[in-house]
Amino acid sequence: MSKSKSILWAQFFNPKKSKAWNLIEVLKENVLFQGLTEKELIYLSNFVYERTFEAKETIFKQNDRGFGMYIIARGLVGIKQEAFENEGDFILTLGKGSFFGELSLIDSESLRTASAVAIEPTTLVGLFKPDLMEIIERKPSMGIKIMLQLSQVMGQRLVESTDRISELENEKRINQKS
Amino acid sequence: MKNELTKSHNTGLTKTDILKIFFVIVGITFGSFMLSRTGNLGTAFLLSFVFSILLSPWVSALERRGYKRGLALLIVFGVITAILGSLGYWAVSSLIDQWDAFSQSAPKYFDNTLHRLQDYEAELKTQYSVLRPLHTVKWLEALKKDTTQWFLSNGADVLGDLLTLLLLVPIVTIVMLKDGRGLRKRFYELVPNRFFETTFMVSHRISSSLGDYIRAKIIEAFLVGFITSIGLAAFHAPYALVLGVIASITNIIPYVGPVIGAVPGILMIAADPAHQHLLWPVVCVYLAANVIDTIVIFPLLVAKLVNLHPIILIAVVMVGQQYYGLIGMLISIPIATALKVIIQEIYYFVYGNRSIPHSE
Repeated sequence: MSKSKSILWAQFFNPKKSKAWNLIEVLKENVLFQGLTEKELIYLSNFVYERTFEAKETIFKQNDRGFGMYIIARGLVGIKQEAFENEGDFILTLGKGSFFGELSLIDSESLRTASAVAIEPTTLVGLFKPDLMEIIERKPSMGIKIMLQLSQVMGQRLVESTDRISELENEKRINQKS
Repeated sequence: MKNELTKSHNTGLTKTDILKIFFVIVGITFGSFMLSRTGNLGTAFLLSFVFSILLSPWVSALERRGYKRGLALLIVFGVITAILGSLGYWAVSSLIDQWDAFSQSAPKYFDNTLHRLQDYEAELKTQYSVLRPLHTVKWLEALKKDTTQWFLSNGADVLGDLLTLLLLVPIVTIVMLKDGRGLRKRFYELVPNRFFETTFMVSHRISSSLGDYIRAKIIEAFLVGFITSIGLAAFHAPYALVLGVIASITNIIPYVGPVIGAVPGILMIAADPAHQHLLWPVVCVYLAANVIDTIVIFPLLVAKLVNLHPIILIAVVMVGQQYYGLIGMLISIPIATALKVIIQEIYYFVYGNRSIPHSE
């Protein structure tokens, strides 16, 4: 059987047997779902989508509309921005367990602020806004746990960005004085 | 060795993607063909889709209270069966009684009307010789004979179809509510990565628009039927419940539905000498129900969801009627709503980041 046929077969007809990783484990290790019980993680697994990307395949492009976030189950993902294209390929490289695109879970019809590309064969687990909304509607207590973790991550990233801006401002002042 | 998964230079798609697209197209074409060819199955799927949309909020409400989805489904179906079997017994038996009386009286009213028409036709023909070749009453008598013959020869088939639907619809509805998510996931697995997010959002927006529309139309139909029944009962018109149910069912058909729904009631009153004094009050009840629907219920419930220009709505309903008659009129607006979502996406795809208005 050719490789393309075997991938199609594995993805559609026999997805569980082809996996070298455990979806529940991937979700469990992610900071967003740390407050969830085992039952809730199993429930959540019905709402996420596994996507397999080949090396160099684009996951999404900058300014595409974003509808959800991705967790890296295996592989490597490179993040790049148009503004920094001359300064090398990727501004950030993310590995197994990392996640990206989470802003789209909150901001409806938001545009992707950077492009994401699979550096090597990569499997992602996607959670999208309509499904998060459905979880909140069907299991509010579970939805609140996810949203709380999500807001903590957002807050942490905001603090990091603010610190970085302060550092840059300081550097700018020092440069101006000298 | 040439890698089979190498992307095509023209499309950016891998061979796996092309295979996936092929399977999706073949699957959708085959599924649509099968559903259109097997009338009962198609109807069962359509009805199950409508029921799953109507019941989904109740199942979710139970899930919110901590019930597992399977148990929540059992409870909802149990309650529906109980309502139909016991609490709804009075309404159903009363409806059946009225329907029996109505179906027995309808031929009498038809014959009365025919006799009157016969006298009127004879009178007109003596006055206007040009009308002599016309045989309206004979044509109506033939129509009655043909209709009766059709019911006699096809009655068993119709009953069989109804029983099949009665068995199929609950099963398919349960499967849709229980495993719909899993089936959708399997479908998305066939969508190439490049189109995945767009397909996901388009299908989500289409299903949520259709769901909102169907829910709104059912509530609208119920309210119109309720107003009609109450109005007719207030004037002591016969068969108020049956006529209310007919008005609510036909009201689902845009524009002409309310007129079709009013015809049986008005004809019956006009043909029945005992109730002829109620003709204008009954016409007023139908008019009032239609005015309340047009001014209050439709704008509040349906128009906001559809969000299409009235001229476009009339055009799509006419196109639907042209190709598929009453069924076409019924499904034209949901199809137009779905097409609107797809066109919005194509617009976005062509014009990129320029913002487009969304009904959500």
